[in-house]
Amino acid sequence: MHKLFNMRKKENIKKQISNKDNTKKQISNETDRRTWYRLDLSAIVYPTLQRKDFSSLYRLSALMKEPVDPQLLQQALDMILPRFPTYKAAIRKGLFWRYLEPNNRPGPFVMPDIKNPCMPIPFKSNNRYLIRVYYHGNRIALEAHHSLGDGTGGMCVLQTLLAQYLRLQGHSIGTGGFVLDINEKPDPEELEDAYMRYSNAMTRPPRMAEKAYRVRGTKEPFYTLNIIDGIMSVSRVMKVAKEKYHVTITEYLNSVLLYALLQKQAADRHSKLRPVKIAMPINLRRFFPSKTLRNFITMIYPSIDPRLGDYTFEEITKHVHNYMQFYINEKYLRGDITTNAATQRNPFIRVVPLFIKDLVVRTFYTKVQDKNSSAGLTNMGALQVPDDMKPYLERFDIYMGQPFSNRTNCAIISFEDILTINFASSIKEADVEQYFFCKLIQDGIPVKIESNRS
Amino acid sequence: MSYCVHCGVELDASLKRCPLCNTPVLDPHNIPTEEAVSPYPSRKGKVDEPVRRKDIAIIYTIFLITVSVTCGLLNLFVFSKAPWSLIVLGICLLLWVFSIPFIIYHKISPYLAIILDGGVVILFLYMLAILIGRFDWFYSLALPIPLLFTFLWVCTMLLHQKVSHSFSALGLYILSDISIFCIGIELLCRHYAEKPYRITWSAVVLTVCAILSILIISLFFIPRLREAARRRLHF
Repeated sequence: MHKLFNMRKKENIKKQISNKDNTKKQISNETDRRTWYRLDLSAIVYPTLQRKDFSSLYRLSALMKEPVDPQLLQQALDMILPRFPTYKAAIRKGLFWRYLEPNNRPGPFVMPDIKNPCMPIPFKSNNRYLIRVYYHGNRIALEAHHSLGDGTGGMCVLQTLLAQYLRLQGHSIGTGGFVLDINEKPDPEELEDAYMRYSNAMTRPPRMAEKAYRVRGTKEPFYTLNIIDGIMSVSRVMKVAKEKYHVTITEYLNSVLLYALLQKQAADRHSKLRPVKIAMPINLRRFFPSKTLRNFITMIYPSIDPRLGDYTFEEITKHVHNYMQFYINEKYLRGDITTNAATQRNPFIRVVPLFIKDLVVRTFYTKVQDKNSSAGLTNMGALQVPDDMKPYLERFDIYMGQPFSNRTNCAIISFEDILTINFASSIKEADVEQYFFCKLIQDGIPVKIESNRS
Repeated sequence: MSYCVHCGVELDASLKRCPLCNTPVLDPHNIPTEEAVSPYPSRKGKVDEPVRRKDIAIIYTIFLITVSVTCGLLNLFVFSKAPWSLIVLGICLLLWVFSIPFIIYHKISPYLAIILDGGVVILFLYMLAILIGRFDWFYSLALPIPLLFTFLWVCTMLLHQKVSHSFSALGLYILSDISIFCIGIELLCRHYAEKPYRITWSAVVLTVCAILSILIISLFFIPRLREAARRRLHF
């Protein structure tokens, strides 16, 4: 039986390699010298914030049921990457804007995982690739620079990689959902800047910006990213959110984080209280149909102002629920992206040289945007995976990456009945995480903790 | 299966302390015989720099040394009428010392870097004096002016770091520096030219700086004006 299985496996690998050669030929025709991609509206900001000790990276990882074979993983990566031209790209500077150009250098190469993920990715290192693929035990992780795309785009790359890896192992895996057909040509819609298609509201809603509470903590030295993963049951969280508080899981977890931040601010004994705000990316594909694999998100800021009085947890959930109802709808979001796009469309701004734009954007981000939120929270929601892939997967994790300033970022993802909440922070103290998970325990949700802290 | 007695969360078998509250995991009835494997690797990653700063520093230093030595040899054996290679040597030394904080050693104290910069400028001017064969201008002008400049720069940095590092305070320090420096230059020039000590053009600079300083101080001390400026100039 074993011999027969191995024979089939080898045949499968041969087939895949011949497919790979065909794909390579197709791609070499496509990626001629004239091919290049403008950065999308969100992606313009991320390279500007690049520092020696900071890159806008995010990490998606999948825990398989069996240990990972690095050689097969490398083969799978080489085969799938030409299907994602904006991920097989290098970032370059123009006079007025940055842009992406096809990268045909060797790589990216899969690497053994490290303790401090999401470390900065200088644009000229890693053979100019802006993605990294790691393996460790049963885990396969993808790290991608935000200028290439958002979590949805990254998830397409990761799931297509997982599917191809499993195919090379001899399993039969179909396509659909996040898994793309690697023998197909990339759809032009996958490479579009969808913001420009939908930023057509007649008015631009103004934005309120007020300094939010910022978590004070001891900064960890460079090359440290503290991770705390909370693993729990989706059904238990759903039960508490729906039956006890009558809200969705996202609203409930948002409220828990706001509650944790309020407790932290109270414990800090600040002389001046500030509103507690969460920066939360919204996937715009839910409201504006687009197949784009690039960035298509906008930020909303659910907040609680403790200067108005003491909020009970029930009041917070109600407030967050109402906030979400008010802001997360097609009309408001269209207005929001129109406001974002207005700056890029302005002809006077367009002709300003890149180094001046960089200076202005960096100053604005440091002085205003970064101070506008106390923590980040993203929810990828319940992950859809092709049925034939499910038996080989245990769970998924998502990390928002190194925070720009001293604070903690929280990312949520669920697969089958496992919900994972991943905190990533660059400070020593884990008070916010402690308040957060203790509240879940108080609400009767059992939580298992994993961490890279030693 | 261990639980944190303080937080109530279940802890991964590899954790020896609760990562949330740092409470140690201690179960006298269940002492593990084998060390559990952490889900995270122990190896730390580092950013691979595309071109290492150390390599640039080595190439830069070798280049400057080569230029100085070859010019010195040319001066010694071929064009030996005047010691002109002192100028090349001085410029190479200037370039090397100026680049210390940027290329050679970026952790250098800024105070030391400025003092070194001042020192190397004086040394370069001294080499010029040797070349020309006259030292009166060196002692009257070329030595005191860089000394004054270095002193003022160090003072400004000290004030900016220790007293107040607001933009308005920095503006005041810079304006004061400009005034003192201009007065210093004028007095030193008059001393060199053996003219009576009095200020003329530096008085104009002093007046402009005084007006600007008064404006900044007004902004600084009148809350209404300060708020108005902050409102209009906020980022």
